[in-house]
Amino acid sequence: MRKEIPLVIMVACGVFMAIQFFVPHELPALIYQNLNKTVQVVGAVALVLGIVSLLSLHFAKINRRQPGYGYSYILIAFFFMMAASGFLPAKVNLGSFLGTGDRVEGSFYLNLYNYVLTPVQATMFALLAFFIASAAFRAFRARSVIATLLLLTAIIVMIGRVPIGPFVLGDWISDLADWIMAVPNAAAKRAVIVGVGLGILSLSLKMVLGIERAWLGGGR
Amino acid sequence: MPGMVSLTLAGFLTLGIMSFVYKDNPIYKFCESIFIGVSAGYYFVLIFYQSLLPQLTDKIGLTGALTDSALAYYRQSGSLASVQWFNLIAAVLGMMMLMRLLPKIGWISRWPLAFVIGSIAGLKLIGELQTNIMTQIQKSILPLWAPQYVDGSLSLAASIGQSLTNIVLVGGILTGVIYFFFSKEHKGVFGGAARVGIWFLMVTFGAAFGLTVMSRMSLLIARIDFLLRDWLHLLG
Repeated sequence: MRKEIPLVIMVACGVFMAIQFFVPHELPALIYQNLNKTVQVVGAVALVLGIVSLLSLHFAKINRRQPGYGYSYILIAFFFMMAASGFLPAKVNLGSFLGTGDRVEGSFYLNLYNYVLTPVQATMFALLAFFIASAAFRAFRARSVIATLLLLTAIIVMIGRVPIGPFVLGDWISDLADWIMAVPNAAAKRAVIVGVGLGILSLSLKMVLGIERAWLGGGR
Repeated sequence: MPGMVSLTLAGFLTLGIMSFVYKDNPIYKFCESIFIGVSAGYYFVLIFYQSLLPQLTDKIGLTGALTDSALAYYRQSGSLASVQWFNLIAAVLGMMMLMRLLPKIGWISRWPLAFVIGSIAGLKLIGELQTNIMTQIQKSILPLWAPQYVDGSLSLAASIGQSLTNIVLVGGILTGVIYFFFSKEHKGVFGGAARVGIWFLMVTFGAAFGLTVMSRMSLLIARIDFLLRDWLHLLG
């Protein structure tokens, strides 16, 4: 029963969601709308579950005094600080240094977002520029036809998309970059999208028909 | 947290993350832990206010009061509309999802999971066919000879240009799809077409690589600009 009932729920939901596209009546539309909303709620709770899992992992790390457990203290402290700041009532004032309650400009929540989360996130992504440079060095040593093709395309797109490219070489370079993006790039992307679409279609069909059951997991 | 203190904090965190370029070090790990903690907290608040609260209550947005829930509506009106019943079902399924945290009754979480997987699979079954497969194929059916008219008369140069573009586009899509078809061995004419497909894919990867390098460089320039201009005031 622990596996059969979920399977029945899944098949029923899948069949209904697929069929409702072809039923022009307000009842299936209303059910569809509410099922969609319910999916969003369950999805949101799943994300909360992920956060709880992250915290329990770090609590366990602290309990076992694993190497680097001190960082887990920092992670947990900043999690609770950020989460608490989001639920502070509007009338709370933590002083000019931290900010106010609520989630408006100048609040503690948005201060943490603007001066902690945003700079670290942007720097994390910016950091990839260094690693991409080293990856480019390895990838751009044109050893074969396809590596040369990759190298040439990347160079043309980069030079064609910055002002100095057309300034030095003329407008043809930006036109060529635009053509590459609009024609061969679009062609291969379309092929990938069609391939991915067919893959999703077959997997969805297997799911709805109850053939694919790996999501039920092992055990009871 | 206004002014210099906040900028110094942001500057310290920026430099802390950048220190990873030298090697993995305690300052980087410290900043990384802060990032993960703050991100998790941020998304927790965001999920609560943007998904859970509005979806469960149907009446409130980002700035709504916590007390205005489906149950509060019930207390006020004495009835539950069909929409509110659905909200309660959503809330119950959400609670069942949390059962995963309790090993003995963790199996209950399969019910909401089945609900989500089934619904999404059913939606994708038709949605994917409509949006990705049919639309893309429809857009790819192009004339291989595309006459172009300039001021009412046929322009041979423009026609050849457009026809070549169409041929490259259709050829790229066909050979790209052939490359992803692994049920037949890539040999002979089929193998040749698959090889051309790889060339098209390499052009796409090269373009994606070039654009990624440019976007990361832009971000790096922005962070250096922040450090030198906003924080240290070394640039005018």
